[in-house]
Amino acid sequence: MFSFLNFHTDLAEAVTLTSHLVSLILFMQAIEMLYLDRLSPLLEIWNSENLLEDWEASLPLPLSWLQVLLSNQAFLFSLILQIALSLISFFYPHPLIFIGLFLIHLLTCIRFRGTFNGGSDMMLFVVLTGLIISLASSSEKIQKLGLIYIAIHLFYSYFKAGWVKIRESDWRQGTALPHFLSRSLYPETQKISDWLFQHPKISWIASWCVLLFELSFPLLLWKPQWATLYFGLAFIFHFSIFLFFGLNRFFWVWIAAWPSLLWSLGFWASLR
Amino acid sequence: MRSSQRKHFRLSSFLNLIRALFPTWNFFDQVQYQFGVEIKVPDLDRWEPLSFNQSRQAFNMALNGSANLAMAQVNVIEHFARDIQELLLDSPLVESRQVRSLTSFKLISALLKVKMQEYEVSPNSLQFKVVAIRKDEILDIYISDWIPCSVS
Repeated sequence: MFSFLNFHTDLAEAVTLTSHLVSLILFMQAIEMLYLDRLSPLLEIWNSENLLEDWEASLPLPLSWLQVLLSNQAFLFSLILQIALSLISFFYPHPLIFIGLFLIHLLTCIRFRGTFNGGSDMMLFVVLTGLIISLASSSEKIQKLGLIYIAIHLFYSYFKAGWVKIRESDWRQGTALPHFLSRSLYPETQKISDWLFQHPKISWIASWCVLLFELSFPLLLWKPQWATLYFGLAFIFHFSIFLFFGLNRFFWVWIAAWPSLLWSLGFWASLR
Repeated sequence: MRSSQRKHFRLSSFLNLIRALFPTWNFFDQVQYQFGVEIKVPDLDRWEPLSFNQSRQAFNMALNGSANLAMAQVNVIEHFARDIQELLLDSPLVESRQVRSLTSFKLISALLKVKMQEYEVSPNSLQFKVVAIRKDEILDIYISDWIPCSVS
C-alpha cells in the first residue's frame, strides 16, 4: 500500500525528500521577502527604529548586539544568506547549514514580533528540528527519531486542530466556516462565504468534512495502510486552504512534513 | 557587559518573541471579532475603511508575497487591538501617551503611512480608528488623535 511513495522502508529517501522540500521552501520564502521589500517596503513598518524598544525588553542581549543583529541591513543580508544556504543545502544537506537556516528564520520571526505567517513558521521549525536531528547523527536510531519527531507533531497538529474546532458550537452547527471564509483577503472567497451563509446545510456538510478529516487521524494508528489516502486528502485540504486564503507557505510546509509521517507510519506498521 | 540604560528584561516578552518554537495547533477555532482599521484625512468628513483585499496571480502557489504581507499587516492591527484591550483592562481611561508608547502603535502608524503611499494620497495628517467586526456588528475599539504625516 505504500508503494506509491516507497517510504516505508527507505529512511534515507524520506530524509532526502524532506531536506529538499525544506531547502526549496526557505529559498522561496527569502525570494518572497526580498521581492516584498522592493515592492512595498517591509522595513518601513518592521524596522529597527519601531521595534528596538520591544527587542530591548524581550531579548537578553546587549543593546549593541541588538542594534547590529536586528538592523535593517542585517535583515536584508540575512535574506541573501538564506537564499545562498538554501541553495547549497539542496545539493549538500549538511546539518550545520540547516542550523544556520533555523537561526536565520528565528531572527526573521523575531523581527515580525514572533511569527510572520503563524502556523507555517511553527511547523517549519518542527521540520527543521527533526531534519537536523536526522542529518546530524550517523546512528540509524537517531535518524529515525528525527523523522518520528516531525511525524508526531504533524499527526497531532491535525487532531488538535480538529479537537479545538469541535468544542465550538459554531463549528458543530456549521456556521464557523463561512465566518472564517468571510475574512479571506480574496473577494471571491468572501462571495463563497456569503453563499454558504445562504446555504446552511451545505456549510454544515463542509464543516463536518473538515472536522472528520482532522479528528480521524488517530485511525492511522490502527490502519497505517490508509496513509496514502490521508496524504491525498491532506493535499486537497491544504490546497483548498491556499485557494481560499492565499496561504501558500502553509501548503508547502505541511507537505514537507508528510514524508516523515508516511515513513513513520510504515515503520509503525512493521512493528505491529 | 550590561547597558545601564536598557529596559527591564521581561521573560514573558521573550517567550512571546520566540513563540514559533512552541507550536500550538489552534487553527480557525473560535469565531471571534475581526479587527479592521478606518481612516480619516482633514479634507474628508467620513471614515474610510482600509482594504487589504488581494487579487490572484498564477505564480502565487510559489510566491504570494502580497497576500502574505497583507496578512502580516492585518496582524499588526490585531496586535494593536489586543494591546488596547489589555490597557482597558487595567483602566477604563487610557491616556494618549500610554497608547503612543506601544510598539504596536508605532507599527500601525507606519502601516497607515505605507497605505497612504499605496493610495497615492499625501495628507498632512490623518486619524485612524480600530474597529471590531462580527457579521453586521461594528464596534469602535480605539480612535486616535490626529497623527502628522511627515514627508520622508
